Parts: sequence; structure tokens; C-alpha cells
Amino acid sequence: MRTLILDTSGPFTTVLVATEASLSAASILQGRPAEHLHEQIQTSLSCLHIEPPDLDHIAVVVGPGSWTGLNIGVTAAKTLAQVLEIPLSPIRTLDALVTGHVKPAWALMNAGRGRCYYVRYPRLTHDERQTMAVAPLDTVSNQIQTDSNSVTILEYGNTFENQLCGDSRYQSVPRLLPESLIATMKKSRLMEGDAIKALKPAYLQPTLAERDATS
Amino acid sequence: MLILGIDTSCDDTGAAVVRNGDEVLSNVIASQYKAHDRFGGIVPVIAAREHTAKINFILESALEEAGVSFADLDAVAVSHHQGLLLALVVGVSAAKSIALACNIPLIGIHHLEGHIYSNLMGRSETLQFPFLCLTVAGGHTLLLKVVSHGTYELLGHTRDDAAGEVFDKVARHLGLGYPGGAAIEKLAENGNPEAYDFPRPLINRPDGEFSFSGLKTAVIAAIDRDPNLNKADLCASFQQAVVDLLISKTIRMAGEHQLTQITLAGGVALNLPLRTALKHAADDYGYQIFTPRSDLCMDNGAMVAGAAYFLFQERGPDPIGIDTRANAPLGSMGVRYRHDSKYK
Ligand SMILES: Nc1ncnc2c1ncn2[C@@H]1O[C@H](COP(=O)(O)OP(=O)(O)OP(=O)(O)O)[C@@H](O)[C@H]1O
Ligand SMILES: [Mg+2]
Repeated sequence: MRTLILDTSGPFTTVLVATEASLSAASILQGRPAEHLHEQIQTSLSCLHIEPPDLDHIAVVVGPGSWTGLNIGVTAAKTLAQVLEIPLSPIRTLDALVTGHVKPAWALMNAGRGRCYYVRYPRLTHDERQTMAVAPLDTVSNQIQTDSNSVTILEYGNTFENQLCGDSRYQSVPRLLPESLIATMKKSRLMEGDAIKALKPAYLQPTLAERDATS
Repeated sequence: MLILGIDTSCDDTGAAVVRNGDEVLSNVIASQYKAHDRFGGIVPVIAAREHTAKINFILESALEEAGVSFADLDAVAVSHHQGLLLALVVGVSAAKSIALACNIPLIGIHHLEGHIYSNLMGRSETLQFPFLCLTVAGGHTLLLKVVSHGTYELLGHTRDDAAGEVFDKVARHLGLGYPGGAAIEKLAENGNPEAYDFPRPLINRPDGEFSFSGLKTAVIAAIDRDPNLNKADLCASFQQAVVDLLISKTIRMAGEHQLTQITLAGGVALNLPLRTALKHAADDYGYQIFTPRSDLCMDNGAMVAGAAYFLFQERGPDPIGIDTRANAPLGSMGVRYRHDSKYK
């Protein structure tokens, strides 16, 4: 089983090739994925002497994260899966962040304008089942204060330092690690056919234009 | 040579399969008009989201309608220059994945080259270089001398609004639908083109420069002034002013540069009064007029595949890492048709 894993959700563009669910090639570049994502894919495959048709499976981070990064990554992955006729697995950013950590746990990520994306993961459920939401950081951090059961709080991108750093349960993670992506990929569902074509990034928030139009 | 062409430069998701630059086997276009309508203009982030949601269905329809599969393709072409950056990257990402997965050449096309080449599709025998091309679309109005494949000289362009943009703004002000130009053309059919004496800016200047903003302001002021105005008369008079401006400059530049073949490109090229008036004017001077097939005028994937067929033979394939740019100089001579600050 050869899986290509793409993450274009954050400040790093990650391309991984996993063979039998263990890592065999990794390319991690800082910067926007628009120009280099496909070069990264090409290089990663060719250093393993793998041709695209040799792939069995694709996984892609669907967000939340960079609007344009997700559009590029999700489109790239959907199209590869469509052409190669192989299954595609969506990976949620926050699930990958929390994979391998002690639970109950919270995962947080900056959503801009004082808000954050968050999920609380209880001890014993499937990560994917927990709904991702967006709320003002103040509200979420108040909930965390009263949640003495949760042992871990993970924050992606180190953007809430001032608000949360007093809490010793808090941990900042600069980017999604290859091992977390592979572990999350193993747990995530396989999509086929029209479901692949219909896959959309997890934007979670309306655009500014839509927000202005409704307010 | 079977080429899949993709265009996501603005608010239409287009994919098409074209054989040898002229046989359009399919040309599928999904309009996003409804997604943007309530915002009074195109919202780039929404355009990008819509393209991402639809692109793979559009690709499938384009192949299905053409009766081919990905494995049959000889190359994939995509608009990578000119348009909304956030929207362009979606089509480019899809095209790169196809090039990689099928191991076929990737051909990056300047969106305006797509419009220009819609004239050569099926006409490469009769249309001879050099020729004049009037490109009139939602974002552009320019006069080009098409010297040879991929080589253009700028003879004039708009200093402010594009002709299509003005059609759209006036139509919106009148509460008409999209595309604005088509709605205005329809209303104008029963109107008197001499009812209003709208300005024709720069019409007497002996060059190829256009300006439409003064005309737009005058038309909008006329609408605001009279709540009971005759819309048909207003549309006919406004359309006549645009047609007069476009034709006088085109004919003048054809004479000055001794170009006897004149082509029209872009969405406004659909306008029948424009086509007819240009034909009449050209007849007087013995010029020949070429207009693209109507399904190739507005943004579409087929014109991208058409341009790619000819340009691939000149330039070969592009690397998988081709860039995406909102504004980029056009052709081998790097024609800049916008303010210099746009090309940073
Ligand atoms: N019958 C018509 N008469 C006049 N204008 C028309 C007609 N039909 C469409 N248009 C105009 O064509 C334009 C759309 O053309 P097109 O899709 O080529 O432009 P665009 O891609 O948005 O802009 P550009 O190519 O310059 O970046 C719109 O402004 C529309 O009003
Ligand atoms: Mg266009």
C-alpha cells in the first residue's frame, strides 16, 4: 500500500509518501504551495522510483487552515485520485494535531480576528466524530479553565501565546508532524468516486463578504 | 493531438477537449453567477471556493461529452496568467495533477491568448499573420497586432474601465441580469440609438487608446435623473456609443498598421450590433473580419486548449512548477497592457 499525503493547510507544505503506513519519503518546504506542491510530489515519488500510477491511496489535509492553501491541496489531491482512480482520505487539521496525545484534550487553532477553531476530544471516541467549531478565543479559554479533566491542550502555530501560556497543560505545535499525519491517515475514512469529486475543504467560516452581507 | 483545456481565471469553471486546435469535442462551463450576484460583484475567495467544489465534476463532464478518458489525452493546458489569483490557482493545481498522473505535457496559457486564439480555431488556413485583434471582455479592452504565434504588439488599450465592465455596471444599475452586455443588447433591439447623445471619449484622438469611464458616468447619471426613462432607448444609445468607440479605433489602427484582417475576441465580441457595424466599416475599406464561434467568446476551456495546440508547437511544454499570476505581460515581447505597478 503506497499512500501520498499532502498538507497545504499551514505555513509549511508537506508531501509524504508512506509505504505500508510507514514513512518512506518526506518533503517539507516553507512557503506557499501554489508553485511548488507538484514539484514536491514529483521529487518525492521519483526519489523512491515510484510513478504516480503506482500509488494506491491519497490523503489530504482538508483544514481548517489557509484558504488558498487548502484549495490548492484539496484540488491537487482530488484530481490525482480522480485520474488514477484510487481512494482518497480527508485528514482534519485538528485531528492530526491531537493524534498520539493523551486525552481528554483540546485542540485549538487561530481563526483570525480573536477567534479560534477548536475541538474537545473526550477519552474514548473516534476523533473524526467530534465536531470542529469556531468561537472567540476568550470563550474557548474560559471553557478550558473550567475543564479540569482535560489533560492536554494543543495549539497549532503558536499564535495564542499571551492568552494561554499561563496554563501548564498547554503545548504549542509549530506544524503537523509526518508521524501524526500518517497516524491520522490510517484512521480516516476512504472516499471513492463522486464523493472524491465533491470533497470540499473544511473552511468552517463564511467569507468576509458573506459575513458582511448577513450582518 | 488531443488537449484538455482548463480555465478558472474568473467566475466560470471551464474545461474542454479539443482535437488539433480546432475540433471542439466538448466545452463545459459552470457559471458561478448565482454565488456572486448578491454581493454586487465577483468575490475572489468565493470564486476560489466554487472552483474547488466543482472542478472535478466539470473535468469529468468534459471528458464524458468528448467520449474520451484521461488516458487518451496528449496534453493538458491551463490559464495560469491573467485573472483572479485565488481562482487561477485552482485550475492550475488540477492541471498539474493531470499532467503528473497522466505523464503528459503541461501547457500554461495566458488567459488573453486564449481569447485571441479563439479566432484561429478552425481558421488557421484563412487567417494570416499579421492580423489585428480587438479584445473586448469583462476586464480588458485592447487592440493588438498579432505578429506571429505568441508574438503580439500593443496598438492601444483602455485607460480606465473595460468595455464589458461598463456593460455590466450599466446593466446592474438598470437591475438587469448577467451577462450585462447580453441583457443590454436584448433591450436595445427595440430602442432608438439616437435618443441620447452620450459622450464618446477620446474618439477623435489619432491613436488606439480607449476610455469608457466618462461614458459610464454619463449613462448612470441619465438613469438616476429620470425614473421613467425609456430603458430600450437608453440601452440602444449607450450600446451605440460603445460600438462607435470600438470601431473607430479599430479601423484607424488597421489603416495605420496596414492590417487587412481584423479579428474580435472576448465576451463583448458576442454583441451582434458590434459585429455588424464592424463588418460594414470593414467592407468600406476592403478589410476582412473574423469573429470567433459564439461558444468560444466568453471564458471557456476550449480557447485555452486551442491556443495550447498552436503555442505548444512553438514553445514546447512548461515545467510542472509554472507560476500563477494575476497580471502578467503577454507573449514573447512581454506586452504590458496595464499600469506598470500591476506587474510587480
Ligand atoms: N451580447 C453581448 N454584448 C456585449 N457584451 C457582452 C455580451 N455578452 C457578454 N458580454 C460581456 O462579456 C463580458 C464577459 O466576457 P469574458 O468572460 O470574456 O470576460 P472576463 O473573462 O470576465 O474578462 P477578461 O477576459 O477581460 O479577464 C461581460 O462583461 C459581459 O457583459
Ligand atoms: Mg475572459
